[in-house]
Amino acid sequence: MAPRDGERDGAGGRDVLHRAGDASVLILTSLAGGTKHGYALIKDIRDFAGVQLGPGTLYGALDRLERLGLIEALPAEERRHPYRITPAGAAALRVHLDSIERVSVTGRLRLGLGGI
Amino acid sequence: MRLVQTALRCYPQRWRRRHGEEAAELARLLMRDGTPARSIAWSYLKGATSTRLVLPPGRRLGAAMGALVAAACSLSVSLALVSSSAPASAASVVRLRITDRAGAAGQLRSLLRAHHFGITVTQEPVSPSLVGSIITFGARGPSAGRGNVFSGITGPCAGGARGCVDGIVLPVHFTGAARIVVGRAAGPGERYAAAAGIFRQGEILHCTALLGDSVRQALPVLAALHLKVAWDTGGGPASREHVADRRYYVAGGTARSAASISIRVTANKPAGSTAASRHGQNC
Repeated sequence: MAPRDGERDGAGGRDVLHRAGDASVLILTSLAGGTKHGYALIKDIRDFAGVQLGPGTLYGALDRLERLGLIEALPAEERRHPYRITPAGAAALRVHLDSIERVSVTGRLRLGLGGI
Repeated sequence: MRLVQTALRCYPQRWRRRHGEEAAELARLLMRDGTPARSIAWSYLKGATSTRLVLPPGRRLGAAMGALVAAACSLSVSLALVSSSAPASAASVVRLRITDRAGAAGQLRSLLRAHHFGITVTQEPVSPSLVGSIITFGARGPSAGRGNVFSGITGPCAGGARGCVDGIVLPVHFTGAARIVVGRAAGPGERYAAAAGIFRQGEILHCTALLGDSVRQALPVLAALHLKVAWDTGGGPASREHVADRRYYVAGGTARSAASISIRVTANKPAGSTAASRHGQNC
């Protein structure tokens, strides 16, 4: 899938995840810590973000990330497909985190909160 | 489970071939953890609707059929949801707040005991502004069901910054296993388990006026502080010589320990990094 107008390419320093949605970012963040299947992803995201991803949202985001080449499904273990972040996914996540950090820095400075 | 199976049948066949068994297994695990079947079914129904409405370009008939199937599925699952006799659970929670930053872990343990919660509180070394704040929390194992979701209460950080978690909200009838990690001061050379930005109030470079300076300007100050610095250009760590030669600007960073930091640099001077904005950092 070609990036839409305004989207950015992780490998080239552009933010592919700009419009991908929070679920995609949470999933990539979780997979950055290691390979996981659906249930492990939901539990991990709940632990580190306090967000309860619905299973329908999870599979929608997994399909989208796989189409973008940002994650890949590994051979099934029993009935579960583990997923792994790809190098392109890691690059895209990094670009996106840098992007939101810039927004955070600017917002905090403009609010006079004095921290980044 | 019947509700969930009905919702799963709303997905296209190709999706069910790929994910069907795993999705049913996932639903069983979530229900075992306490997530209501109706919530799982509703999530799958929304997913199925989205899946059916996202088709390759030129498949107008397919999209129209998808919309019809999705609508029919919505109706059947909605009817099933309406007929479900499961009672809605009352939301009753306990709010626990840390007021003694120096004794945060002990205070939290006392509060939890007073409410008869068997929840583990552990401590991890953190950067200065996170000392006495909650770093992570959550129910574990079979206790981690939807009805057992914890949430944090945001309050001030050590040193005066804002945005730390100094309290927790949890279900009053929670009886399972859970863990809360509280930040403690790090020992000499001890690596941080969590860290805030190095220019934040209470952190190592707060009010040093380095934010927005060129790396050339920053180097003598950092040397005087005896800090081990890793430079991060966004494309990966870079050498000190490389960064200095390119005249990068200091844009942020995190501490790895009291003596080791990573500084993020950019080729362009960060917007808003003026003396006036630093004045707003209560320097």
